[in-house]
Amino acid sequence: MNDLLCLGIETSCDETAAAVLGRDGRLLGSVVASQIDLHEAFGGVVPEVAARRHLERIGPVVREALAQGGIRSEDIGLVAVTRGPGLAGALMVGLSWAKAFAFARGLPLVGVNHVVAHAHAAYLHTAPRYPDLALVASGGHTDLFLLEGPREVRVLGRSRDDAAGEAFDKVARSLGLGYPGGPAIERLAQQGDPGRAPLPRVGLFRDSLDFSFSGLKTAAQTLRRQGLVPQDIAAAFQAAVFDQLWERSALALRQTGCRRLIFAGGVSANGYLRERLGDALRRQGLALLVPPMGHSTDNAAMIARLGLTMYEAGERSPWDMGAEPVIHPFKP
Amino acid sequence: MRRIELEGPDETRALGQALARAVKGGLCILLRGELGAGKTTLCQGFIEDRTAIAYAPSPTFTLLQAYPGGLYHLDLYRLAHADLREFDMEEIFAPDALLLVEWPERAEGEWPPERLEIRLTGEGNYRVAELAAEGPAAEQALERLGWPA
Repeated sequence: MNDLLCLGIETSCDETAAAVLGRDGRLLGSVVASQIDLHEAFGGVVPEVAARRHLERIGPVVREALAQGGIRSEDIGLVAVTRGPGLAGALMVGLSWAKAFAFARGLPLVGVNHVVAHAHAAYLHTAPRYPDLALVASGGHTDLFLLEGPREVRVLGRSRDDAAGEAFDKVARSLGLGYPGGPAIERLAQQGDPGRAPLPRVGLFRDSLDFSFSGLKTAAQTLRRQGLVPQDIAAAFQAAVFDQLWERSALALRQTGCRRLIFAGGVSANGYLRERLGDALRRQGLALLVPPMGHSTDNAAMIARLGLTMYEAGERSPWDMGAEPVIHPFKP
Repeated sequence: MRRIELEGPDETRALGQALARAVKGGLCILLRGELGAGKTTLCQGFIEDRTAIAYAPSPTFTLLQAYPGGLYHLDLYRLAHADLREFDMEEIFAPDALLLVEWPERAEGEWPPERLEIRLTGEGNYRVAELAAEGPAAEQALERLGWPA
């Protein structure tokens, strides 16, 4: 096989994932084994902390990703792996596994930032046009940043408290909905009227593009206690999340002169948010870029994508690279 | 037991900062209260005082965030029943470690007997923090707690 094939490995949180991506952009295999179905994280089944489960699954998941593309492990030419942020023990499983695989075969290894990789998921089907503005919203992160090059990232705003996806899950729980909360809220909101549930506006912080979702979460619970119907609260909550995402993004677009916005991470799977962001951008002659179907939530194709991009820019990670559960400041 | 009334998230955060100054050495601090009661906000104040990180991320998804100086922020919300042995117990329960725990109910009965318990209740913009000390380290911290800040 002439094309350079990159094996991507992702174990930062609940998902054990592996993917094979060619330098030519072909996604040959992609497998995500979620732990959500196993431990219904918010539901009540007794869970184990992620690390042990990753350890059990990493081997089979990689084998399945290779099998999907009819690829032998000796065809792999590069290994990309999530280095952080995430849960330390979970990260260590993927990192150790990737190092062993690469070392045994004499392959180069590239460690990547999980949040930056979410943005690069959009590049699975579109070429980068640096600088690109990215909004990554998930259960663990809400970050607005500028992709200035294959390895250059500048953070513009972050959540000051809960991540957007975390707020979705917690509001869903307080409304008596299941996990994950995003799809549950989206479904319920379709039957609701946001105008009937007054939630506070989370205005811009002074000299900052930071977000805050904790107050919305608390306000939604207060409305529930006051007897408002869940449908209206869900609709109002979703609208308030949109307002905040769009206000910050619009300002960042103006400040950076970017002509398009990448919206990625698990929250970007929300159809309502996608549609409203798309409409708002189009009205200004700007474009919305989202990852391919199924690649908004955690996956390893995005890890391989960013790994390949960084590799081509000269990146090689050392064998003593460690997990970085909290990456401050942001590094790709 | 000490009862402190708080108005708004800023005061909750300030209580966390005051607490960070009052605690000397290692301690386990358990924070109880409903979603939105202000547990994370109080922890953010504590962490800011100790590390200068102004907006520590909520550890709900990562479960545990470690900070320089033996400071740990644990959030067991996602777990129905947590098995603490899954964490590095030697680190988080080291004698000089400072451990902040949200949703300690998920591992009830597994916490060190000497600890500081904080319960947050209230509605709207108003909160009450009830602080109860078990053991000399927590008692001394409560005595030193300068409040109102």
